[in-house]
Amino acid sequence: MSDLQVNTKLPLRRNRPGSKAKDWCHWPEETSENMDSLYHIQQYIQQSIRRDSSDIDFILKAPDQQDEGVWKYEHLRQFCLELNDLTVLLQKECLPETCSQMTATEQWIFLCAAHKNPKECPAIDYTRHTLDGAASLLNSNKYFPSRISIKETSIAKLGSVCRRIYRIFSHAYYHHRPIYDEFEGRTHLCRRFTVFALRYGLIPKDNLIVPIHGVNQDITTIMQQQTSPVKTHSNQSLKNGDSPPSPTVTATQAESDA
Amino acid sequence: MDGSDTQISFQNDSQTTAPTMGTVDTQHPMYTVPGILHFLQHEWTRFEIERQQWETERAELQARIAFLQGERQGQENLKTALVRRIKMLEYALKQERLKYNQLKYGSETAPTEDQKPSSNEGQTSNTAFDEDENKEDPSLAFGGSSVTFKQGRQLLRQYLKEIGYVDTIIDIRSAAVKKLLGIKSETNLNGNNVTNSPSNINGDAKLMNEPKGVIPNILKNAANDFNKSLASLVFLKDDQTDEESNDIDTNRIVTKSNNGNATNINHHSSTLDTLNDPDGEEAALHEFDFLTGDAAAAALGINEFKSTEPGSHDWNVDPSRINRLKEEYKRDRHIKPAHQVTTITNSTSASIRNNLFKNNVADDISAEPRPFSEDEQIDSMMFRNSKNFIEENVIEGLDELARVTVSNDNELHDDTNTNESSEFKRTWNIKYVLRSHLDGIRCATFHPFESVVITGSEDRTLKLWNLEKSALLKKSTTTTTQDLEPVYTFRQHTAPVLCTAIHPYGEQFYSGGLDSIIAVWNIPNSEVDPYDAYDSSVLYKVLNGHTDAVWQLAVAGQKLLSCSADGSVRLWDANLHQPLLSTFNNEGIPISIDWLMRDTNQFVVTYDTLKTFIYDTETGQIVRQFANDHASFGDPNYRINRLISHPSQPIVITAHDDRKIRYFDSNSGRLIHSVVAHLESVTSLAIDSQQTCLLSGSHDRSIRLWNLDNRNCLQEITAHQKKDDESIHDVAFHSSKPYMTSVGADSIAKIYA
Repeated sequence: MSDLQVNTKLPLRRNRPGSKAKDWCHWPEETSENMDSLYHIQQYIQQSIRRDSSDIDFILKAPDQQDEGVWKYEHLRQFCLELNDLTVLLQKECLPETCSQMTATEQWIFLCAAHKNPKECPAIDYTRHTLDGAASLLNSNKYFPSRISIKETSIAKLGSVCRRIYRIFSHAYYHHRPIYDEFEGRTHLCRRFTVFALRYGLIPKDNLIVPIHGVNQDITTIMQQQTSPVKTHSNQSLKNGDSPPSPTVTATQAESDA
Repeated sequence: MDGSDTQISFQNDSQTTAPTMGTVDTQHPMYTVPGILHFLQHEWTRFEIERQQWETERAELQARIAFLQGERQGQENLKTALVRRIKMLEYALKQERLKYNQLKYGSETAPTEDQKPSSNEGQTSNTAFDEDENKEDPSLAFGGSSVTFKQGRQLLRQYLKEIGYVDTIIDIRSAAVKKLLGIKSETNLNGNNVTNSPSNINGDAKLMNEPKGVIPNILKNAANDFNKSLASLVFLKDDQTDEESNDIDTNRIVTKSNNGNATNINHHSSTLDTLNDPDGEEAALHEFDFLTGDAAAAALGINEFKSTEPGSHDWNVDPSRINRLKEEYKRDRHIKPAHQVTTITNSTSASIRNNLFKNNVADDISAEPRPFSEDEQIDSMMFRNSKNFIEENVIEGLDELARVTVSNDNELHDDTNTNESSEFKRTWNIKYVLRSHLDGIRCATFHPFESVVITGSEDRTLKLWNLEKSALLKKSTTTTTQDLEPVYTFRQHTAPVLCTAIHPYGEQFYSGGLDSIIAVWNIPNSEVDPYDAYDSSVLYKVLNGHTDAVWQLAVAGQKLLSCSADGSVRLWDANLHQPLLSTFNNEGIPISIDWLMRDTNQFVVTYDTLKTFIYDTETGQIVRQFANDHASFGDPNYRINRLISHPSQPIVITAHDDRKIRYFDSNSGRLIHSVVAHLESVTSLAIDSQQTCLLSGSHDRSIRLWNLDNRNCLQEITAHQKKDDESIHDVAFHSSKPYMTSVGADSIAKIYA
């Protein structure tokens, strides 16, 4: 019962009221060239994920002549969107009483940057605030006024958002393993995120502490090196770039958001 | 202590020589060491005392110097002040002399002024004052000759002609003004001149200078032929190209010119009464009496000069009006609001007189009567063209049509900002743009009484926005749009949120999603910090029951209706332990539901089988079936995407895929009216709280406002971009505040006011 587009006679890509859940976005794929709307990158990414959520290379492969900044931006939006499901799962289990701090390994305590002064939020608060903060940053007119071109100065923001988002993964992995496994098995989100971060250099390899099979399986060596006592890692506010020292003894590249 | 050292050395010498001296001259006393020491100490203390005295003296003298210097400075200040005063007095005296002379010679030269050559150099007997005149700078007041005055008048006259102020209009206005002010005899002229002149001095000298400069010039020149003197009116020039259209020209002068005179003259041109005879000058000059609050004398002053017959056609200006205009404009330049400018043009001189007394009270003007409707229209058109004058304040004297709110949104503005539809006196404009969702927004609902809106999106979240917060933001930032952040984010759905409905008490709301759950939420306080601790009690309950996507929710009191893609319509009461009350099934999938008139137990539901029914919840039976539009028989696009029922009338309005909106009578089920509403399928409908207009949103990216009575389109706003062929998913009105919203697949919610 789908009517056709006027021009191309393809089925209209609409989810009409009354559609069943299995028919959601159940329209034929389109190539990225055919898409002419403002949001065609987002459409393309979502379509790729629907096609096969485990085919990470295909999802992350940018179409020809795609602006890299826009590509990264749109993917980050999609990550924040999909992390909502993980958050919903965590909301049940990750209570302030059990996880009163946002940690992954024993090494760092992460402070929530969404407040004026970085605050030691419980894990669930950290997760929610980070996602909300990322959503508002990615939508803010000041840093990302357009969906088709990204300001040079705002590219750095993507890195800091990635870093914070990653902590949600690491916390879930180390503290709520069953939830993580179920979620990851279904969506492959952490793997995709890790590959994404590595490929575009948004997070240094040493910080990617969630072992992903085939990507950074040798993470255990890094784990052994992290023997220093618990340090408090403070996140600056979203505006400042922060560059926490790498936990390894030997000085590695410094993170900088500048 | 060098002195003492030398003393000591001397003494030592004397000591050494002492014995020799002692042996030679026994009359000298013997020097003993203690004695020497004593002497030295004595001397030293003496010196110290002297030093202290010198120090104190010095300090005293310095203090005295400072004091004298201060005194001298004070004297100098006093001197300059006195000199200034002398200058003022001289100036006033000069003006008085001029006035006197004009009075004396003015009437004698009136007949000759008409014959004056139109080029500017003609000097009349009034040229005694020409030495002060600078043609280039009319702000030199009062010394200006009648020539430049006439130039100004001519220019004004030219402008008036351009904008269509025919002489008859001018005559009418001057007659009306005269009537208002009353006509008195001229005989008190001179007497008042003298008495009033000293009172002028007390006024603000600066304030007086400029207007005095302009009015005399204008009035003096009014008798001349306008056209030829235009060329020589350098002081008025500011890109004046007379061949251009009136509106733009005059407005350009207003907007560009920082020269107060030009702008004042523009005011005059727009609203000018015909100038009075030379008496008008004096009348104008006597306007300054207002500044001093000398009410009686001022009134008399004005009235006297109204008594002149409009003999020479040129002098029909209402000087009070001119002055009022100038005063207003000066105030405007400081205060800036647009409405003053237009209200100037519309108030009468009587009102202006009051305003002058109050001295810069800006808002009084707008309340005054407006006898000249024609002028209003012309003025409003003129000023509307100039963007500077359209601001958030209502332009009084115009319909509410002109109520334009400035929006910072950089997306498309609505086309019909300045429409003149006379039926519905309101245009909606984008007020806020809410960006925070990561994917298309599917549904939106307003809080019953607070300025709060809740949006539900395909990114699985719902967000609560407090529009009051943005009011503060808008005032603080000037050009950059500061984003309005959501106050709260509701996370429970694991699939796109498709519908929301809010409880009429405003305490709870419901959301339904593709994951087939209905979540019942307690609405958090809209003042809460967005980054607060997670409060799991915000989620009140989850209603499970449906097995497929929940597409629509409808609330009536405590009861909640939901329709789902699993084919059922369910009735819930969230407060019960077993919330599900009943289920209604029929063939096909229900697409949209709504309660009938909000207070009955009946609801209307439409199915994808193109059938629409009215059910009764108590009996569970179908009460009525709607008769479909015969013209669309068999057309699959007849499918209804959304239906709403009118809150008070037995009408159900449906939005169809075939781009039409149809009105059905719910008592009979028959079609009343159908109208092609959009370019693509209509997706959503909403009725405002006054029940006067209907808002429809469509995938053609536009929302349209319809008048419910005559079903005409009132306004169209192109609101959202397309994503995946979808554009606008939902529209809603606030039930008590003048807000409406549209949300779309571009993940943006727009609030209009």
